[in-house]
Amino acid sequence: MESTLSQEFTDRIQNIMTLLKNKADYWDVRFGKSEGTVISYRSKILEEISFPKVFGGSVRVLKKGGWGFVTFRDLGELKKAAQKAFKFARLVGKGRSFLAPIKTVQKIVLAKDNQKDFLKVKTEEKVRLLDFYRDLIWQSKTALAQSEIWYSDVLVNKLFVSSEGSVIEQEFPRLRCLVELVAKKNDVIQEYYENLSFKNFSDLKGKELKIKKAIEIVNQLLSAPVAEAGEYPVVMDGKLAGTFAHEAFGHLSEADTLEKDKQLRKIMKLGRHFGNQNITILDNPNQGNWGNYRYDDEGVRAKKAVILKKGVLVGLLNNRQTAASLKQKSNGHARAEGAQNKPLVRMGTIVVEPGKDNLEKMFSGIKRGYYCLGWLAGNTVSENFTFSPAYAYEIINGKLGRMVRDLKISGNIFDTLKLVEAVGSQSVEEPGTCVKFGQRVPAGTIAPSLRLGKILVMGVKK
Amino acid sequence: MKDLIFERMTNFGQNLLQKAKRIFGQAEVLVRGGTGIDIWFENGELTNIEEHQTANLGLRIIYRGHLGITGTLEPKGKDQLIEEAKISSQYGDKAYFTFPPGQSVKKVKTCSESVVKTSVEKIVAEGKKAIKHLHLKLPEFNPSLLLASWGWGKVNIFNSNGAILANEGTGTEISLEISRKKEGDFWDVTTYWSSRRWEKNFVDLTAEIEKSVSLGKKIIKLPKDPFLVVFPPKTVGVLLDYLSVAINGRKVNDRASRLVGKLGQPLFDKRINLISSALEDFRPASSPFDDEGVPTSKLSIIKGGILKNFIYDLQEAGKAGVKPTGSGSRGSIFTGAYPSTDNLILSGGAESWPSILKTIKKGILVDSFVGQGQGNVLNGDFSLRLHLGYLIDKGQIVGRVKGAGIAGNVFDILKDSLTDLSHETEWWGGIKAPYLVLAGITISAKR
Repeated sequence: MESTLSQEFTDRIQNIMTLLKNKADYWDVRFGKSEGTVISYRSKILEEISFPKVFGGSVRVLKKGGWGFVTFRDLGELKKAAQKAFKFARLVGKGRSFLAPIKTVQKIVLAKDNQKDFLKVKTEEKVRLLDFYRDLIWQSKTALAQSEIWYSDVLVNKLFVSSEGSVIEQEFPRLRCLVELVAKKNDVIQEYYENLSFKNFSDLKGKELKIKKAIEIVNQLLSAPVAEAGEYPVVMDGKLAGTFAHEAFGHLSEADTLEKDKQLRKIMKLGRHFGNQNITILDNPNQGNWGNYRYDDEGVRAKKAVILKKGVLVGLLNNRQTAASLKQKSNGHARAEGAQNKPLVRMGTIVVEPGKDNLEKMFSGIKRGYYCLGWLAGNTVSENFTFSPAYAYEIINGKLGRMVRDLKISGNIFDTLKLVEAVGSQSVEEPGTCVKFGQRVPAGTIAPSLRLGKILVMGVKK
Repeated sequence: MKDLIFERMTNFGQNLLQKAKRIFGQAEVLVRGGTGIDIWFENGELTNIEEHQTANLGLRIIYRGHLGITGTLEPKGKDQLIEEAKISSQYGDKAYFTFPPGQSVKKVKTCSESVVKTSVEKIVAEGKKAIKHLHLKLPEFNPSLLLASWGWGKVNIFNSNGAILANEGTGTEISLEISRKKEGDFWDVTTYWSSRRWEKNFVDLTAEIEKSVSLGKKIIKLPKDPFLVVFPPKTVGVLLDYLSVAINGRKVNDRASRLVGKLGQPLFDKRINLISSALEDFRPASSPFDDEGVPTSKLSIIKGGILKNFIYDLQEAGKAGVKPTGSGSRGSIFTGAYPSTDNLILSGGAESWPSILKTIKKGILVDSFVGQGQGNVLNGDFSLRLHLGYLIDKGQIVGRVKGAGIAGNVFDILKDSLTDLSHETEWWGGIKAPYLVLAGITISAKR
């Protein structure tokens, strides 16, 4: 199959960038385009269909340890952009440039046909399927006030060219379909979200049961009491456990946060015990259907990075600079939202390794606690994190009780992993969007259920 | 501000509009472009200088009574854009409006020449000076982030009913964060400033940081309830976010807002007066017209505690049978408009903050949070973990508190639990607010 970007643009880029030969310590140019379809429903109406197309690029220059970064809208602007990026790098750099060495790669990475099956599906067929789901939502007589169905498919093509001779073109198909349901009764409003698919168009079919379950949950939430605030043992399902791992540990393992922070480096030393022996967390961009990629945005082959092994910090997520600085291996975790954003150290697919415990065992011994399912959002700031389950049940004397709502869990990353008492045996995958310095990237999680000994549940006190 | 690609995009857009008007009757073109520069200091070192340029064009049509939408980042492909817009309209929602004719707009200052002329070297020098100052005054702290951003941009809107609108704007933002990380205690102190011109410099922000540090030297264990919670002006936006969703005409039309059918009712404490205004000189959300070419205004949202208005774009106003409020926002050229608040101004009360502080026996002064904007926004329920908060004891700030969470319902506390609000108000980005002293908030903590 012919590639378009590399054939069309590589020579031009390399010719233009000769202006920095023997001047910059390193440069790379990323250029990309994307095309897709977005379909959105608002309650009973198909509200909008659009066909977003994005393209553009950026050039990064490294000189004496300092970076300059400039975006361009078409290749006609690249020369000027490169000159400016070099000027910026010279203004910044005062020392030496260090990047972990990597193999030069010339490769085209195409997605498998089944991953981009949506390219062969006509708009009418997409609409027919979504109309069906819309009708399913509204045929039930419930307290639904509003619904939204949001469908997006996109094929992203990225080209990476570097001063070291790497030329990598990659194809990234992404498809996601979300349903949001809002139920209302008097002054009480409850929302519930469900991911219908994040794999491909074939996978989007046959989601009737998921939708029916979502309708049931949002209606039950209307009459559920608010969760009571306090410290409680919590069992979380795999979807929420993935968010927990992402927020409670994933961000702290991103090495660009600690690379030049001497105080943090003293605390985040490899070999430090963060959790119990039963918890192992890694990030593997070669796993999963959502946060996965082959080469990162510095042209580095993405590798599985074990971060926490049986509770002990054994590794970090690196870009080339942090790997060199921290004397670790480059593991390909530099990602940018698009070709016009600079790469930052990001997660791809956070994985919590499964254990041996089942749910019944996890509930036993809990006098009063919560079983939390699904997730709405999560956030980490420094040592603090929060994450919100979509809904929860009380656990009373080891048995599931009534549904509760509006519960949020929060903790401190240094204490919380030590509270993991049990790890389930069955993992589930969940897609998400991670935001860091305003850049949004797809980030997935694969995790089993977890039981935490005692964690702060924020809510209203009765 | 010369931008050749923006000019090419505008010329292309004008031709595109003519063609779209001939074919569809009703059409609108939105052209936006700009340049932004970021200077990053991380952990006390200059690490990165970036420049971003954008230019995009959005086409909306109303064809056979239905909305169609498409966009492009390059000034070419007229026929493809026309075809995409047509296909989009075949599926799109019924249009409840027509594109408005040209109308006179009120003047507001959105552009500062000094921002356009800002030199990278000057900001680098100022940043280095600020870091040196911080190292001197607060040596145990790491200046973890100093980010200075500024930029300029243009917007043109023209439509088939003769509207031709153009505006230029500038923007500046400075964020400053210092941190001290010790085993068992991460102490991060942050501040920021954003505006359409340089109003504060780094020295001003470092002074704020120093003051915050002086307040938080002691860690105080949180005593038991009950407490008052003080939201200083810097943090009031967290509460206003919930109101912004509830007054959104789209949510109102969907009947997914708690405020549906309640215009004219006394839903809030009578001391609450809230305005959404796009006509404040040099404020971030100021503009003479919205992203649909509708003139903006100062709109009273809450007056004397009474709910006065919702915010509408053209489509939601048409559905509701009311006038649009100049609140149409187009985040992306590939999606339609969405009602959005402008600068939000919450008026102050009678007493000064120092005199109010003296009356607080036990309270928490919040500074920064984790988990902002999450949770059941539609219902108004908030649960926030405090990233930094200070304890007030017998009228004095005595130290900082760690690991606490606050929770409550915004509608309930702004109706029944507003203990006081200060006379002084401050701008923080696009929000002007007083200190709010609130009861009725649950505080949870690891004991």
